[in-house]
Amino acid sequence: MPKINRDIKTEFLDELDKHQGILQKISFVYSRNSVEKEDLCQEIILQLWKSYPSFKRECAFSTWMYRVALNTALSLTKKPKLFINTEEIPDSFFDVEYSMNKSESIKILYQAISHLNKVEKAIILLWLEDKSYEEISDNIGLTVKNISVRLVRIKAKLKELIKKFQ
Amino acid sequence: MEEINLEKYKSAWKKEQSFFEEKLSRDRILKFMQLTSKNISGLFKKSLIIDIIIKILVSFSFGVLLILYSSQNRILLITALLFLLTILCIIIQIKIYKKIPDVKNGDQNIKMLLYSYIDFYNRKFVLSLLVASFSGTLFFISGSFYYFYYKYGTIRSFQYDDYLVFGIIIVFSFLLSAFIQFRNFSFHIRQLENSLADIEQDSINESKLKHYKKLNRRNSIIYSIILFAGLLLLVLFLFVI
Repeated sequence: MPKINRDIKTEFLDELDKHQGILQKISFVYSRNSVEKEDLCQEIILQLWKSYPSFKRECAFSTWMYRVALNTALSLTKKPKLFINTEEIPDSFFDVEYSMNKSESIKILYQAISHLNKVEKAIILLWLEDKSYEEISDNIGLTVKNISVRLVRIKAKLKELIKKFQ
Repeated sequence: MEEINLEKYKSAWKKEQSFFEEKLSRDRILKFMQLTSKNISGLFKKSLIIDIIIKILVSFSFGVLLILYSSQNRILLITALLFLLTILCIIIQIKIYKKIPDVKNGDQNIKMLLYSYIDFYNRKFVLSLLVASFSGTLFFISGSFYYFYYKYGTIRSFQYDDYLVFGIIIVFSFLLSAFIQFRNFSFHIRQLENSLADIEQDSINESKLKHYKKLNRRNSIIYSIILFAGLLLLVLFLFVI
């Protein structure tokens, strides 16, 4: 038994290693600073590991990883802070140094995306990753038609935001 | 004004090297795999475990009181009832713990995942929060019984102002605890509800969210009335009859 567990662990680590880019992208988009990013990375890895035994290989590891990572990012809630009204801190607030090591286009894109809500972020992230409407609809739980309408709106919103930050 | 070309940003996104260069080491990943979850299921579980531990300690404390008051029939009966009430609360909490949705994040889409958490909270967890709110009250009652035992050797007869003070502390400790617990959990659930509302914005299913809110209100009112009536009966039984 321990050998099997070790094999599963090694297999999981190998797969994760190959797709760390997905982890970095999702945690980058859903965080406002390095601390939040680290917390989200931790939670995503934990959820991936916990869900790995139920991964049936009906799809690619990367497809499954997007689903788990996005589900984790969307269901992770902020803690209430005593004496601080957290609602006063907008989601779009972020540490300027956070995206310093990124190219200029990514910095602008990040700034614009940080003004979208969590669901819009998930949809645009999957679009940026070249996922089909079917795949996006499968991840979010909306119909393909609904996704296409939603994407048009989000893209228009994103363009306006990019214009502002350019 | 130049038209924004999103494809240009999409291409930059795909080519961004830093996403592939910032790699976590295996040791770090292994460390992360052993941590406890901070998601909503983790929060439900953590709060239930803490409450179960507190209630086990309180039931142990009532168990000792059963021995201390073994020769005083009326107080023995009250202590036994409180002991059974604490055990009942532990059983309820364990049952709810077992029902916490063991969500495998890879098995369902975002919408279904959010629904399962919100549904669980509104249908089951509201009762757990009310049961958890009893811990402080039970702790106070057992503490008072110890105080009376070591000071008077029995629970001395009460004056009018004693009833008032004890009654107020018992009710207040319950209400304060319930207020804090509900505020804390509704803060988390509201965030999930907001995400679900963002998904459902064009859909007829948004009414489902309203249904959950109604269900939550109804359950909270029913459970509160039952528990509050029970609490008043307890106060009457303890100090008046």
